Amino acid sequence: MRFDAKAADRGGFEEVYDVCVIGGGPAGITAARVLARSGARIALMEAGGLEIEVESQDPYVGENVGLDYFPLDTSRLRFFGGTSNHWAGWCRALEPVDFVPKRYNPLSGWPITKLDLDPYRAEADQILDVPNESEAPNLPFAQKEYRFHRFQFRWSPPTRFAEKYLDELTASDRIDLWLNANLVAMPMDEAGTKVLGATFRSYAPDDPGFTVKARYYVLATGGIENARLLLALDQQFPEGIGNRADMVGRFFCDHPHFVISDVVLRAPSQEREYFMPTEEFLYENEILNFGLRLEPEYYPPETGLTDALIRGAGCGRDFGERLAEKVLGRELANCDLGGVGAWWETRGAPRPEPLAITRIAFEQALNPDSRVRLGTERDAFGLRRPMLDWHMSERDIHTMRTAAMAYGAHIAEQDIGRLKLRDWLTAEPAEIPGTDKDEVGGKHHMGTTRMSADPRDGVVDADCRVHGTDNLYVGGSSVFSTPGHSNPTYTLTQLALRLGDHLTGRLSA
Amino acid sequence: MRRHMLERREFLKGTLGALATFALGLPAARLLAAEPASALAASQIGPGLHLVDGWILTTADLRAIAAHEV
Repeated sequence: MRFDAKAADRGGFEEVYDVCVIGGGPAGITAARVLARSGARIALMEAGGLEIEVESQDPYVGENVGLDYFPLDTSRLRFFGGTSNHWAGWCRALEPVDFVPKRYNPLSGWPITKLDLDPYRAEADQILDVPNESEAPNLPFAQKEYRFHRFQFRWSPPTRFAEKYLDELTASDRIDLWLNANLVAMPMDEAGTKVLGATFRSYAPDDPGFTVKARYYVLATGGIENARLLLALDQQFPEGIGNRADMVGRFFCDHPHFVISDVVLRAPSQEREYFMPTEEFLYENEILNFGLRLEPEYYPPETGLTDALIRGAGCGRDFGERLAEKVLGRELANCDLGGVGAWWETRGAPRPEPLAITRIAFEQALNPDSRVRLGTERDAFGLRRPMLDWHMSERDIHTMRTAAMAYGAHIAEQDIGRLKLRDWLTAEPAEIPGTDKDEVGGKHHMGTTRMSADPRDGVVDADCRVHGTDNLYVGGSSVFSTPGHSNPTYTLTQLALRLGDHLTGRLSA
Repeated sequence: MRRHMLERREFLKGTLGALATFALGLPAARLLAAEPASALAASQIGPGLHLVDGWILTTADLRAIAAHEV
């Protein structure tokens, strides 16, 4: 069934649900669907509606006080389907080495292993519509190379969870999907070990709100928002919920994305290639995992004047004419590629060297000072807004430099080309580019409620249950203990499936 | 594309600038010493390779540059 908190249609809340899932993004929808299969009754609470709206997006507004980062209200989406509404579809499971502690990265490693997530590959593939193979194979090198693997991503179309699952959820007699329901309070018992209810409000200023009761609660609102809510719901406990060890919000990381070098290739190439370090190379250099992408620059074909004139024949007309042709379904000449301009630029000149760049996306070292905190401003519901204090460390710079140097050595040794590290990376200290100069990050918000065996080292346990609580769980990439280099959606989907199974087991016990 | 072509031009200008520095006879050793060696130890790139002005070059590259053959 589907309800809208704006319509104040709040019948049915006398019921105690089995599970209240807060957040209608990939993690929340996935966990809810698994639980519904077992016959459980689920309240799936989404803060936004079916489309992006200014008022529903507003609570995501926050402040960046650390490294230059994206505005917090544009790097995530607060409506049904969540950030799956703008993700790009890159899929790859974490590597076995990502789960293993590394002595040079304190607190790293997970309390689970890759084997705990592998059983969920097939279903994660199905949910994300990725090709029906459990893992894209690594590719061989043409020559011996101990430093790198060539690897592949797999691709989701990308799956938009709202489009894919709205009808199913609406038709479900097990799931009550609520839209425009904003979490504003989470009353707990005196000891702070058990959630007693979750209180929601619509956007109407005079809405007194309503409380959903359930046996278990799952907070699945995203890598920044999970931490923000746990901190901001401080009505009973000044430190917030699940924050006795002062770990909520700490260890925020993204996968930093930077162009780290320019490459002159021996021969033109149109193929993007992906490299990651071998375990041997990773440990030998005390670096963290990375994905390095060789990205050949577009290399225009040589343009003769006749071809250029033909290709450019459609150019130079006014906008109205071109619009009419487009509306009528006719192909328009591409005035930027291969036209007279390109001929003029390249006439009589020797062909330039084929060029490429290398772009890195890497795992950040764990840093407790890189964190989500609360700002002083409050949102429309009276909750303090997020403040992101993102940092990089010397280990992060070391990882980027080592990756660039090793790849440069590889292509020089094999005479594939020559590489130049970007000046900002060789500067001392490194001059990390801001968002005006590079991609900076993948908008992958991870680590803020990290999974740990010891409650002193994180926020949730190996089952994603908040340490010290009986019935509060967290879903999404905020639970990543150590992020690896791969995009997070695939792993968080596996984790949500596993969480659904865990709660199904508890409900049937 | 125009933007890319300009970037390419800038990039090649920078490349040729680095090579021209060699052609003018500046000893390679001096350039190597100018690198921030603490973080970018040349030993990381192995024998027979050199870190020069951010470039990773072979010994043959250096010889060719020095002999004005590039």
